This record gives sequence, C-alpha cells and structure tokens, in this order.
Amino acid sequence: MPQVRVQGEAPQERGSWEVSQEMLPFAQEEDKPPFWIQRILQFRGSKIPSDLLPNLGAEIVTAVEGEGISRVSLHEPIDLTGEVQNAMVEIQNMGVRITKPNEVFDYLLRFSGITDVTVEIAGSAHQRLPEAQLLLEVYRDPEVEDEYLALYARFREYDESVMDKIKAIRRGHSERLVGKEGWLLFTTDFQPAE
Amino acid sequence: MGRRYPHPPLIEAVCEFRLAQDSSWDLTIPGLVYEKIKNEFPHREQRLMQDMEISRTQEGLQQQVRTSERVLFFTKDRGMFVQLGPRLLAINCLKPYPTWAGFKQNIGKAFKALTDIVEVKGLQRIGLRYINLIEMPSSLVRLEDYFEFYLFLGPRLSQNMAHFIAGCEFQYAIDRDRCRVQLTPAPSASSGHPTLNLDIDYFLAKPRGVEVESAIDWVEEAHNRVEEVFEGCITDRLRELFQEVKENASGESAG
Repeated sequence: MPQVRVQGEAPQERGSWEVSQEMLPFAQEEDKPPFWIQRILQFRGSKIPSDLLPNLGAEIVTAVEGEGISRVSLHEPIDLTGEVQNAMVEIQNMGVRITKPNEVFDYLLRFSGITDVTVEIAGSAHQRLPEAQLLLEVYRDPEVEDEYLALYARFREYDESVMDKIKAIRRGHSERLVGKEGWLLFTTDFQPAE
Repeated sequence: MGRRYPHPPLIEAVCEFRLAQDSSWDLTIPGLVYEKIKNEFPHREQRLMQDMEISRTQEGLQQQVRTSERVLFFTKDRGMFVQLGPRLLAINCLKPYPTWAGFKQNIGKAFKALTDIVEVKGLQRIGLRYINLIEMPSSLVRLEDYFEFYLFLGPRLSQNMAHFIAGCEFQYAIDRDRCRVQLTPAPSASSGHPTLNLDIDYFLAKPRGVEVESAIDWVEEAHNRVEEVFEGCITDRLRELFQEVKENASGESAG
C-alpha cells in the first residue's frame, strides 16, 4: 500500500518538500492510508513550501533540526468535518447516489463512529453488486423517533437471490457496527434501478 | 460582542491544547478526567489514531507510523465532545453552535479537569478553529461578490475553476500566534449549488509562548481574532444569506 514520502530542504530553511509515493507496506497489507494522508498523496510530484504542509490536511507539522536530522511529525486531525467530507466524496466516487447530502453529512458528523464502516459497506456493495444502483440517505422512522443511515441497492429485476446477496455483504461488516452510536442498514427498497 | 446570525455557517468549532513533551502522561488520565466531566459528557467512545513521523537522517529518510488511542466523551445530544489522547485535550462543538459563552464554559471545565490531574509543564500548542460550510445561493457565483478573501484570477485566465485552495497565515502578537485561513470547495450540498469551506484556525505558533495559567485568557483573545477574521473574509451579501440580526440604536434586536 502507498506510503507518503516527504523530502527536500530542511524546513527551517523555508525550503520545499517534494511529496512522492512508494509502494511500501503501510500499517497492514489490507489497510489503506487514512484520509488525511491520502489528501497529502494527491500532491505527489508537487513541491510544496514547508510552511504550507499543514494546509494539506495534517493537523500539525513539527520540524526538528538536530545534527543533520530533520523530523516532521504529522498528527491525525482533530476535527470531524474533514473526515466526514472525505468519506462522502469517496462514497460518491463509487457511484453511490446521495440525494440529500446535507442530511447524510449531518448524520455522520453526529455519529462519526460509523463513518469508516459506511465507506467500507458502500465499497463492498459497489464491488460485489456491480449491477445494482446504490443510494445512501437518512431514514426517519415515522412511528418512533429514530433515524439511521440507509444504503439501498436497487436492481432492474428482483429475484430470490437479491436478499441473500445483500445479507452476505451485511454479514461481512455487521460486527463493525456493534457498540457504535448511530446505525447503517444495507438493504433494498425493491424500487427499480434507473 | 460580534454580529449575530440566525443561520450561521459554522459546522464545527474545536479548541485544542497540546501539552509539552515534559508533561507526564499515562493511560489512566482519560479515566480520571472523565470522572470530573461525566455529568456534562456522559457518553464514552474510543478510537485508534495514526500519527506519522518522517525523519531525515544521514542514512536517509525514515518513516514511522504510530497508533495511539483517543478517548472521546460526548454530551447527551452528541453536540459537543472532549477528546483525550497522549498529551492532547480537544473540545469539539458541532452545529447548532451554543454561543461562545456556552462553548467557552465547557472548554474551561475540560481544561481545569485536566490540569487538576496532570502537572502541565507547558503548552506546545493551543488552537481555536472554526470550520464554516457556506452554501452558495446559485450554481454560478462570483466569489468576490460574497468573499473578501478569495483567489484572484487575472482576466487572461480561465474563470472556470474545477478546484482551488485559497490559504493564508496571518501573524499576531509579534508572531507568537498565527491564524491560518483557508477557503476551499466542499462536497456539493443537497441543492446542488457550490459549497465552500471557510476554515479559520487561530493557534499558538510559539511553543510555550503562553503560560498554562493564562491559557483560557488566550482562548478568549483567540476567539476575538477569529471573529474579526471571519467578518473580514465575507461581504454583506453573504451576511444577508446568514440573515444577520441588525440591532437598533438602543442595542435591541431589530430583525
């Protein structure tokens, strides 16, 4: 998996850092870098003044100069906005339709603990059900005061295997939702895909 | 007192304190802080965070990814929460914003809870950040009609930007403090109209530049600066969209 490499002049010389990418193991083979590192990777190949590195998404950059040593520390951001906005862009890039993004954004901001798993379930659905049209929205139960995220898979034709396929994807992620505030239901509303 | 907006664009405000490395820290601290603030922040959650360090040594570049645990304590309505990680305290406030007085009260409470438990030797960084999400009223807009902080493009350049970042750092208090301002496009809103993030981050740029005892006074000052910068970034046309409450001569709300 990609790893960020930042190289260049020492920061206190107000130099520039070149962002490049190498195919090296990140944390674990199946892991992808967190969103804020992905955001830095978008600038690979670019030269960036060291003063502006924090603007690329890392919360803080500290640079320490010793005997020939420069050190840069990048900390995971402490705001939720960036994480939720990036997740929504990632979901939309998979072709998932979000008809009311303001509502989904507000829900994920409030229940940010399920942001990662929402991206994962959308990713699995997108990969394993390429024939389906996917929609993400906030579902409000009119009978009880409850709301949750609903990811719908819509098909041109429905047969008996549809729910089995959906349940198989649900099973793969259900544990990741346990103990979290907020909920995501992956299902179908049996509407025809457009 | 700043201007008042019934429909403010603020979606998240964060106040953070990073303690200097010589302040002691151990895994029991989040639990001890929780005991002091659990009436206001009763819901606990834990998250794993990744920090990255890149060192340039004589042998070449070395990279290290570290995982640390962050504990989050939420209010009942999840509108506000405290984050505690190694030498980090942050207080986040989500929309709807409860006024500065309401936010500041919780900042003070969380900071006091921490300093009652930990001997804070110094503050590496303090930050007060306001993230605004501004939805434009139509599909095609000229940024200069709504902002006094934007990217200027000369007439020979294409005026159709697919993406942009407008950013600047302002100096304050003889460069002890800085305010980083960024205007960037955000994911589209439900209306389909362009949406922008106006991110204002006022922070202590000089480690230990403020005494621990003065940290809350610094935060108050930071808030004043953030308000000034916010007002400096926008035009009256945008204020109209936020439905500013005008006050009459006697100081009463007129609208």
